[in-house]
Amino acid sequence: MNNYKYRFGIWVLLILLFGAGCTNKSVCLEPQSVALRAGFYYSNSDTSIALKDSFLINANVYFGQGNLYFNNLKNTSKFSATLSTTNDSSLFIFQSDSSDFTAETIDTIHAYHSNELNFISVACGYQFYHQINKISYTKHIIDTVYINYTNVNNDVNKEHLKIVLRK
Amino acid sequence: MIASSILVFYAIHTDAQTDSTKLKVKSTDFSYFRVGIDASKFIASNVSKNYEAVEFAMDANYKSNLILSSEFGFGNSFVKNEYLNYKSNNVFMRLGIDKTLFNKEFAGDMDNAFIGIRYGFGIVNRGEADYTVYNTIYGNSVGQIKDAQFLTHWLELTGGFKMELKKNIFIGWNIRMKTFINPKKFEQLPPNYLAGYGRSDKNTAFGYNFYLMYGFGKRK
Repeated sequence: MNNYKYRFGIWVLLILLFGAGCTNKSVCLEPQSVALRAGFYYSNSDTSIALKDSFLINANVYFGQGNLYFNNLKNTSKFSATLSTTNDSSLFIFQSDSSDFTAETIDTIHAYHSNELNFISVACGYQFYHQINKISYTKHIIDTVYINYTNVNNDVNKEHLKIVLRK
Repeated sequence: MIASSILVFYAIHTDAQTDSTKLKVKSTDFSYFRVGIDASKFIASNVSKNYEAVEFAMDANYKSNLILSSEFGFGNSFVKNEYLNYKSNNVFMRLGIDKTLFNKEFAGDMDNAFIGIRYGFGIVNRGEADYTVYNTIYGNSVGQIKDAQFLTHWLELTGGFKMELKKNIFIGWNIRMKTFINPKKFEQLPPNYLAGYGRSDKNTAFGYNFYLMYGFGKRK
């Protein structure tokens, strides 16, 4: 056997075996749910569609199966929540003052949407993307709800709903 | 690691080229053949819980420094985690050519390093996939994606070393860098391991083989 060739083969094999010791295992690091994002606004005037952020002092938004979950919104004008992956509509209950339970201070928003499977990876499986088709709502505190972006996906920079409150 | 291997290849190849003691020996075309099995896949299949694979190799002298190579095999793999559960299997074949890097030192010298290219293709069968999407707020969703069968193609760069341990008994190792020609086929539910390719959720994959081979024919 040729000595230099033999040594060459063995050395490169050892280098490769050393490198092969570094293996990468599939781990799921991506979030598996996407969120609907909404902002609260006041209309600047009766005729203008220009909107101004409406900071909520202490409001609640209830959502989820049986409306068991809620976001407490303190001094903020934005909220996010997941949509239903098992039904094609999701209900949000907006309580404009968390200490006031009278019907006139509470509104409901129904988001009607389609759900579409999106493959993430072998480690994470699937997630659901949504497309908002229609919005219906009561008008105690809410004046109008605009659909700003219909596609609810991993893009965290999109605000899907603009909720305009009565002055 | 790859860069350092290439440097070692280049340095020793250059060294070998400048050694004036080497002989130029012309091999007869298709005079000597080798067949073998990849021992590393046999070991890995027994160690890994995610896949099983078998690979065979054949090569034949084409010119004094060119070897026509073919590898083929089959395997199956499993994805089983809290989100997905599916099986897949595939058969594959690779065809290509290797160029040896060292001159022959004597008639019949078969020890050599090589670099080569391959075209690989395979038939992939993926079984029905069960998925679970966890959602603590609205409840979990479970479902099934129907099975699929498709063809896949890829290209490889390879380099390695083969040496004759005893007369007509060879061992050889190689490393491979592979890239899919049709990566879109693997955007959804890729097999955990594709025999002949490796991890199919990557457009570029790296692999290795460790062959045990038997040679026969007329050597010069």
